[in-house]
Amino acid sequence: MVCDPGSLLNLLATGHAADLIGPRRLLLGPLARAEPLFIYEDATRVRRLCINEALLGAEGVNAIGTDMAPEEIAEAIRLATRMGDAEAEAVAIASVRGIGIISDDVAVGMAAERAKQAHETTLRLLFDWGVRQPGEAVHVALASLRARASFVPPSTDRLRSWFMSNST
Amino acid sequence: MPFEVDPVVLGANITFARKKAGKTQDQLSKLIGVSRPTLIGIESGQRHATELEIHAIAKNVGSSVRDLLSLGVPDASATVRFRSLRGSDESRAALEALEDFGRRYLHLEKLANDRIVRREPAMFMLERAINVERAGEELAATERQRLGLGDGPLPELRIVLEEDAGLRIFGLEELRRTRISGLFAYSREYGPLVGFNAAHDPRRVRWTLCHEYAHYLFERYELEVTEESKSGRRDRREQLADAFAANFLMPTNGISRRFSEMLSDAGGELKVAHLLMLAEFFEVSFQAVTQRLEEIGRITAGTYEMLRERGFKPLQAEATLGFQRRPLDRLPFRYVFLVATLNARGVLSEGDVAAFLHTDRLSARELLQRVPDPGADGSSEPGLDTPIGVAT
Repeated sequence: MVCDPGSLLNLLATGHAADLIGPRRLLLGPLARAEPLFIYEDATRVRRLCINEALLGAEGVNAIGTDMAPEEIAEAIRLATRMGDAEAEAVAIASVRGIGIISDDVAVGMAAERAKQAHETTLRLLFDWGVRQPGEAVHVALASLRARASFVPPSTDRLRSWFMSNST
Repeated sequence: MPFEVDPVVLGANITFARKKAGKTQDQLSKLIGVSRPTLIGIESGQRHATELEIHAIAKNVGSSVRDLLSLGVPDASATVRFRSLRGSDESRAALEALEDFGRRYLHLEKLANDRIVRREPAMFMLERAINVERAGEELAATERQRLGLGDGPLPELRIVLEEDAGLRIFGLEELRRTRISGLFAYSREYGPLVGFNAAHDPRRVRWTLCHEYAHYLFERYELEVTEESKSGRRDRREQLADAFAANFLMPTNGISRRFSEMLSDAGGELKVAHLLMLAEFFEVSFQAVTQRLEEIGRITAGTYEMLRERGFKPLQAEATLGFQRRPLDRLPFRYVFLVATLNARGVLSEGDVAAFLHTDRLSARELLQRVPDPGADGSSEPGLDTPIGVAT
C-alpha cells in the first residue's frame, strides 16, 4: 500500500505501526520521503523525533521508497488541483499501480472514493487491530496517537467518537 | 481524470514564482527543456502547459505544483512594491513571507466565499501636520472615536485591529534574528498587511502593531520596514507613528485618570511598583508607560533614564510581582479558522494546511486545535460552521 505523509506520521505515533501494517509493505513517494516529518517522542510532548529510515527501521516498519513513472507524475499534477503535492503523489501512485492507499486526509479520502480505490485510515487499522487486543492496549495506542501526533480525526470520520472516548 | 486549469492563472503564477526564484525566462526554459517562446506562451496563458512541463517548472522555481495551479493571480502592484525593498537581506525573507500570507489569506476567503468588505478610513495628510507629536495624538483620538474604544486600556488590541480596523497581522519567524520590529505593506487586493517580529515580547509587539497601524493611516501606499534605531534619531514619519502608538495605547485622559486614582490610593507616595502596575493595566512596557507619564507631565522628566542608569530591571521586577504576559498568536484567528474549515471540508489537504500556516504538519495540527472544531457538512456535531436561521 502507498502511504501519504500524514498517515505515516500517525502510524508511527501509535507505537504499533508494524502491528497495524502487518505483512503489507508501505510505499513512500519522493515527496513523502523528502518532507521533514515529526512526532513527539512521548506523551510529554517535549522532544520531537524526525521520521527517517532509522526510525522506521527501529519501529519494524516495512517501508520502501518508490520513484514515479511519467504517467504517475502526470496524474499527480492533475490531482494537485484538489490537494497538496504529497497527497496527490500518493493518490496518483495508488491509482496508476492499482494498489491501496493509507491516508487520514479528508481530501484524499474523497478522491479515493471517487476513484473507487482501496482506502485505509490509521483509525480503521487501529480499530481492526484493537478487536484482537486487550482494551488497555487500544487505549494506550489511541492516546499515543493523540499526544505524539496531535491527531484528532475529522468530524466526518465514522470512528471519531470511538477515538474521542478512548484516547484520553 | 481531466486536467482543468486556468492557463492565465497558471501563467501568472509561474511568472511570479520564476521571478521570486531569480530566474530569467531564458534560464528557466533551458532548465525545463523547452524553447523560450514556449515558456513565454505558457506564462502569458496563451499556451497550455503539459503536466510534465508543470512538474519541471515547479521543481526548478522551488514552488509546489499546488500553488502554481491553484493560488489566485498575484497582485502585480503589491509584488512591485514588495520587491522595491528587497535589497535588504534582513527584510527580504520576511517581506516574501508577508506577501505570501496576504496572497493566501485572499485565496482562503475566495475558497470559503467569505470575503470581508473593508471600510477603510480616509488617509491622514502628514504634510499638513506642523507638530507631529500633536498630530499623532489627534490621529489616535480620532481612531479611538471612530472605532468606539473610549479612553481605557485595549486588552483585545489584536482583535480590534483585525476585526474592526481590517489589518491582517502575522508574526514572522523570518524577523527573529533581525533588528526589525515590524513591517507594513498595503495592497488593494490583499488589504493592509502587518508583520511583527515573532521573537519580541508581547507588549513590545502591541506597540509595533499600533506603530504600523499609524503608517496605514497616513502613508498606506508606502512599504514600511521599522528597524530599531541605534542613534535614537527618527524622521517625522516615525515620530508621528510612535506618537500615535503612545496615544492609542495610553490616551492622555485614560492614563491620567488611572494615574490619579493610583496616586490617591497610595496616599500620594508614588513608587516604581505603581508604574509597573500601570504598565500591566495598559499592557505596555515599563519604558512606554514611564515615558508617557513624563511626556504628559505627571512624573518628573528623565525618570526612566535615571532608573535605567541605576540598573533597574523591569522584567525581573514584573516577575517578582507575578505578572504574566499573554503571547500573541503568530497568525490571525480568522485565517487559521478558514484553514481549519476548508480542511474539514476536504478543500485543503493536510499538506496544504502546513503550507498555508508556514509550518510542518505536526505544528500545523497543533495550530488547528487552537480553534474550535469548525465541523463539516453532513456532520451531526454542531461546529462554528453550522448555519443558524435568522428570524425575519
